[in-house]
Amino acid sequence: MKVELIFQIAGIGILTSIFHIILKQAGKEEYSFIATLAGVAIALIMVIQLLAELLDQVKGVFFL
Amino acid sequence: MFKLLGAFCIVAGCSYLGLRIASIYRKRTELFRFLQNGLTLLETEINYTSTPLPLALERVGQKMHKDCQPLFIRAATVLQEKKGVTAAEAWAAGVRALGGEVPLTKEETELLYVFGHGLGGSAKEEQVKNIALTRKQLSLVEKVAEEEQVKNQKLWQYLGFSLGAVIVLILI
Repeated sequence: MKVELIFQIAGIGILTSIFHIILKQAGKEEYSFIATLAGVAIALIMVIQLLAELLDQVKGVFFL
Repeated sequence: MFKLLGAFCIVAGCSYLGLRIASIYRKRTELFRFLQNGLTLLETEINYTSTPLPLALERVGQKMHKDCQPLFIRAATVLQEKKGVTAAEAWAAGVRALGGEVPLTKEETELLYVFGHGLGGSAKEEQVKNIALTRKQLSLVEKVAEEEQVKNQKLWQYLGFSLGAVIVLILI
């Protein structure tokens, strides 16, 4: 298990929330929504390989 | 070590860009304030001392802040150097020079061009009226620019740094 990845995702989460707050305060709600969505997408891209590995392992456990 | 240096460079670069964009908003507000001052000076030159336009523009340009200077100085040099150029054309050249320094919207450039058409082509009273009208419009534009500044200046300052931090986080 890579511990750095967790910190990386946590950092992206914090910065995404900062983006959201700043853009919302500036009255640009639509951009703040897009920024949040981009943050989620980036985090998902990072995690998705690990998810695939997990799924493979689960499959392996049940000899599928 | 190199990673850290690269990360620092990216954050510093993005912060700088953010600050640069933020400063454009401040510059615009200041520019419109200085332009109003400049027009007041020009009015004095035209109304009380009846200075010829090229000389009046040059004098006003020398007294102005350096952000605002290209407009007056360029217009004055075009008027002095080229024969057969109308005041409106010279002023338009000045406006283009100003547009190269500070970004102006289409309406603002149009406002300045329209002012140029009334410059130097009519009686003193008409010109003074034209200057007063343009000054009033400029003060409205300044208010809009100020609102924009309040809204966007902080946004870009924070956004630049945050963007750098996100890029570093993704790359690490």
